[in-house]
Amino acid sequence: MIDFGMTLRIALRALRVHKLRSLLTMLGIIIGVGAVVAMLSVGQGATMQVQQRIASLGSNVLQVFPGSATTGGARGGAGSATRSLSLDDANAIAPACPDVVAVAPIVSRGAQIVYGNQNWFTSVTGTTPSYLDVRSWDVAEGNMFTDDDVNAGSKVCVLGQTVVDNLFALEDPIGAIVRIRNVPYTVLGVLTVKGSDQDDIILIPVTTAERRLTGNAWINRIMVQAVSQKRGDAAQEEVTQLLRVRHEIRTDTEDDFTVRNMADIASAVQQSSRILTLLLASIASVSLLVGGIGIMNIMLVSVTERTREIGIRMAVGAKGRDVLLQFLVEAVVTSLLGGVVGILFGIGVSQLIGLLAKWNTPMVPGAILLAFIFSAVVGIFFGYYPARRAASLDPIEALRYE
Amino acid sequence: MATDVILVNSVSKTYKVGETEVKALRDVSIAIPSGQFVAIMGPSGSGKSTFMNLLGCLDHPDAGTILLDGTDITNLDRNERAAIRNRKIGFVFQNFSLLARTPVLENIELPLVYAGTPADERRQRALEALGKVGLASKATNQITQLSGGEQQRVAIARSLVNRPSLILADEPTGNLDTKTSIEIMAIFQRLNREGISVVLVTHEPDIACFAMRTVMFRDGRIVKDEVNAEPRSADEELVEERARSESDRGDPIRNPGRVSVMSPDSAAPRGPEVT
Repeated sequence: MIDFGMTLRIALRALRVHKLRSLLTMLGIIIGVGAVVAMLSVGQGATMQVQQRIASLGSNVLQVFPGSATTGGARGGAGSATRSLSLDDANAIAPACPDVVAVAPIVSRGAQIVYGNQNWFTSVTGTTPSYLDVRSWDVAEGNMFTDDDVNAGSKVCVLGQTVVDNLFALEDPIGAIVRIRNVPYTVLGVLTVKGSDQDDIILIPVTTAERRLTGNAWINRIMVQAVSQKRGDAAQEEVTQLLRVRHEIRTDTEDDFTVRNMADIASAVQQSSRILTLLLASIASVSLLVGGIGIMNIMLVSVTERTREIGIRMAVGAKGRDVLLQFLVEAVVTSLLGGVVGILFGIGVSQLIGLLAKWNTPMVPGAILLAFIFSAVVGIFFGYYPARRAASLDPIEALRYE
Repeated sequence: MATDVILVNSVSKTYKVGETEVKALRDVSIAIPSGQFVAIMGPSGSGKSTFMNLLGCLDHPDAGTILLDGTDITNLDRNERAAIRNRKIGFVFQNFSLLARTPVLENIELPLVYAGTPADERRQRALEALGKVGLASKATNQITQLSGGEQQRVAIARSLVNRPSLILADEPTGNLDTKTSIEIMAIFQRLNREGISVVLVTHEPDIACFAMRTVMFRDGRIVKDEVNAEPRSADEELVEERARSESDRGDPIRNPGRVSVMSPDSAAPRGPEVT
């Protein structure tokens, strides 16, 4: 039996003889492996990005949405019952539920904001001061409006940084008057920067929003902060029971509201981005398959071209498995070299994408290992048939081949 | 029995070419004693190539038996035949059949690679074999840097390296000029004197004259098998040749004493001036 080091040397020599051909064959694998590594890495980055965003919303936060409304027997989807949550519901939660720390009712509408000759369309959110606690947010300058402002329905607001950037050039926004739907509001403060454009927001007292913006007493949703992430489920239960009582829902009837746990949302989003990553990677692995077919093609050509060499080797005593191994090693070396270069290429591409998209695209050691193993498997799989063919040549025919 | 390196007993071989059957060998029997130098002759299609393939363990007969060095090689499978070729037989071909782009020494090592010989021993035995064909200085050259005669000598070194019982040479001088042919025959004769059996296939009666025995094939049968009472000695002819070319330099004349030996330079191309 021939020793492995020798087989490897023979394979490397054969690859060196046709440098350009070997390189082009490898290119298929390089692109395939590179694409898989890059896609997995970018996908991982996207997942992390989404996770971070959700975490910044607060992982111990529950959201209460109006439920589905039944009108004349036809049931609408979630949120169709826009008139099921009231400000009183929101106010009742904190005292009645022991696992709840803070509650923020939310009324939001898109509206055009005008300051001087500048204007900007953004989301106007009517809420209470506890909104900042729930979202673990703070004001960078000035102050948040107070509960008194909420009780009085004052025309005051707090701006997100994006709104400030778009309306104010150099002036200090604090104390300025902005107009929302022609109603003047005094700017009390500016929120700290939260990023990924959660800063495109204006906060006003919830009572003011009801009066000036929506013209009714219903609210869009309630954000509820649980004591801790662990107590999230308990808080959810308490809020559900309370609202069922308040809405006088009988035991055999469905809720007219929905309570969503952020942790559930997080895992749902994570699930979907994982599926997306998998999808991208499987598309990329198609090109790896194409690369493998390229290897098979070239190996078949190579076997034909080197029929005489195979004949000589067999004449001096090479057994079928020696020839098989020689060509198999050649195919595997091609695909592994391609795999290594492809991994570096993939890392480069993912870093570039990370740089351009301002994401963190982390190296995934598992993906790199997987790509490496996968390229070896491709080499064995697509190299086997040509190698088998070489090994089964008749030495007499092979020696006569010109 | 053990003194015969080859013992062929009523061997037949039939090939199918498309629809028709070609009887390449019909009931051939022959014994070749160990240490003999045999020339096999015959026109194309006479069955001599088939016979060589059978002796070389590249193929197996339809009927009859073949003993190589006392071992029955008639019904071996592919791998067993490869092992026999590796241990017992050295091949020399008309077109040298060396691996281009592989250094001389590694070409010679090739049979030892497949025998699983350790690298150190491989190297040493390859150098030894190279010395026997007088090319020790070319060990590190590439095959493409060698002349035809040198390439054939490397091929002979390769056939020697596994210390075979038998060297099978298939038209080894077919691609060489006369002088180089004689040099190659000198090497075969020297190896034969050292005890290696040589079976040589050739078209040329001049070359067959160097062997001790000539076997003639025709239509798949042995039609003539005779001992050469006085084989040509390649060494002596080389000495004569050298003396002649020194005295007659640049003035090619016919040598009256020889039957059909051409001027030694006639096969070597000399540029455009043709007389």
